[in-house]
Amino acid sequence: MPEETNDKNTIRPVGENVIVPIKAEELVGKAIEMKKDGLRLSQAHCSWVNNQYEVSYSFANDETLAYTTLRICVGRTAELSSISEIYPYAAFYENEMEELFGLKIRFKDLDYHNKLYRIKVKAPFLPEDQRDVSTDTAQEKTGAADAPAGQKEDAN
Amino acid sequence: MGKRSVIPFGPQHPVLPEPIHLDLVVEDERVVEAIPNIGFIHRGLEGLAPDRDFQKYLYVVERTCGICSFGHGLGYVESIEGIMNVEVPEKARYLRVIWAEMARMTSHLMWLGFTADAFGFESLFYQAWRIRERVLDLMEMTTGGRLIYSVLKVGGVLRDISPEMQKKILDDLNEIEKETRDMTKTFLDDYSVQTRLKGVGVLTKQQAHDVGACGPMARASGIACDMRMRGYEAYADLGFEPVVSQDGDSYARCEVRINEIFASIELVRRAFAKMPKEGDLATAFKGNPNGEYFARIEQPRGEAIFYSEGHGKPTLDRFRLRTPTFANLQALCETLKGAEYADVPILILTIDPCISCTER
Amino acid sequence: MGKVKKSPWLLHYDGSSCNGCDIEVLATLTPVYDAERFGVVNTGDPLQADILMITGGINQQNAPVVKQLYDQMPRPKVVVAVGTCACSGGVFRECYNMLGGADSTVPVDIYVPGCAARPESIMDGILKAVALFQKRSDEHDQYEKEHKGEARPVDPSINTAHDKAKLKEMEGTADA
Repeated sequence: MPEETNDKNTIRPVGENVIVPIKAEELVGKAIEMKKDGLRLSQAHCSWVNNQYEVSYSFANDETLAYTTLRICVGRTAELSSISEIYPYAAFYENEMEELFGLKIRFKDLDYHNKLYRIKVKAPFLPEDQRDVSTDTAQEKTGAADAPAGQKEDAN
Repeated sequence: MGKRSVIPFGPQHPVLPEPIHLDLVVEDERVVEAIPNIGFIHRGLEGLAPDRDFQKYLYVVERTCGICSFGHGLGYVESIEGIMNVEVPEKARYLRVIWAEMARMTSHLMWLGFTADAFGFESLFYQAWRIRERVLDLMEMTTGGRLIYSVLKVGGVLRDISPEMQKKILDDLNEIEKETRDMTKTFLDDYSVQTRLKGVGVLTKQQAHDVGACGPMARASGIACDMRMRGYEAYADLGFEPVVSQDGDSYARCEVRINEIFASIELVRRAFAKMPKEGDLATAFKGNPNGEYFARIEQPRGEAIFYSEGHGKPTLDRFRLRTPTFANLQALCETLKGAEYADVPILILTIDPCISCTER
Repeated sequence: MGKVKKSPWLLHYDGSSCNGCDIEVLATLTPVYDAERFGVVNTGDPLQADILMITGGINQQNAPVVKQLYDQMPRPKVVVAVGTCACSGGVFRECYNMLGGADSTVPVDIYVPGCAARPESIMDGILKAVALFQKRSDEHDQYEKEHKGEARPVDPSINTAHDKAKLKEMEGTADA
């Protein structure tokens, strides 16, 4: 086991969170740059604050342990482009954003059509008055959220 | 081309402790594709953040998962301390490291029991959990709880470890280390374990990077990334080195986790040696969080990210928890491609799934 | 509880639990606390189980699963709700996806509180469940002996009858 001194080069100091605001159109371009630099998509989420969506995509560098977050602020009816062509596993995060927040994201690789969690309440994280917007057509098409899934759940 | 069929796996299954549903597209006993279907444990606890005082919300976050409970509490208080710039006293930082490493040991011993049980190796399951009970007795002696500790607060910790408890912990850890070494040597040297695990579910370094794996999944494929290298809490003073393997198969993942148990024991010993004898347990602070912060810590299963956003009210506006198994689900689907149908439960257990963390 | 005649088998299902109570249920069956010395065995098959232990609350996705597991178990059966979340919904009661405790979906006989419930309390719950199972088993045997040779009444909730008149007549003589 190594010595107790702190001169091992595996320890890096705690870094600041870097949050970079960008526009919605620049998202795919920036994601391609991040992929070229060898960064890993660490997480993606959104919040509803001050009557707008704040969408964050965070990228981690496994060599230097730096952490960069791209921040996009859009309105209720905006549509974002998915980055799942570049980062395939982004599809899980984007499906979650769509189901819980009602944020429309187009061209996802793996699309659960609002049935990732199969909850009954539509966009539960939005305030009540913001939930019914006619652009949420995917939710209306699927109907009752748990009826088809219930028949599949046989104890094997 | 053989005949394809879709086999539903779960949510109730004898080998899995938690409900997860996978649709396995199987062609003549080989899995072609796996589509996960989650949502059985989804409680929606992130939605409670605007309804609870930020200091009381800690108790909800701790109960996201009973196995990784200390890590969740730690990440949450770190994110609040990051927003409010609260400096945690030195003794509290060492205490947090000690409890976090002991919680990591209980998690890995429990995982070892489940994996052995999935093989049919039930006596090893019982032995691993018997050793785990000894570590849980130490946790109960110091914190009062076996799984959910509630010993953290924003700014520090609530309890101290007295010198008598410290001596007992160090003595017990010597015995626990000896017993664990004997038991894990039996597991790793066993012929049937090696036949079933070596070469199964291989994830190369490039594949692991492309699917975004984290934690022991990534370290077993050669990516030397561990959040403890950031030096949060007291890790910067303890000379930490991550446990890495280059093989990338299920056997390598088992090896990495078993070696992490011994690394944790060593970290606890060093932390006790360096911890100051006297000191404050917590820093007082005033006011409400105003700002946002990403905290990253290393849970037993990988990298966990805690994001808090507040605007001066006593409740947070948004709390987001990204747990390691959410990131490893895609890695699971990748390892299942081309696997034999009979290996599916073992492969699911080698990613160390914690579905209640994933779905919150 | 004097003598245990038939050893009941346990089925444990986790419905939206944080895993704390699940791990404690499994710890109760391991050598340190050892509930197996009372004859209970943890099985994965609902068709062979007598006691259903539910941890965690019920949410919209797992309500049909729990109901199906309960229906698949043959009578007599006992249901134990382990942990505060299974008793009433716990800390997550007000979340948007939760329906409540286990008794929102299946009838519960024994409630074991705690967060996470300690193995000693779970052992107490298992012993009470075994005693209750003996009692129900005796009542079942008595019923069988008294009504020997008669047509078994059909449970109206399972066979939604195509014949409404027959269903009405059977509802008057349904099994307890």
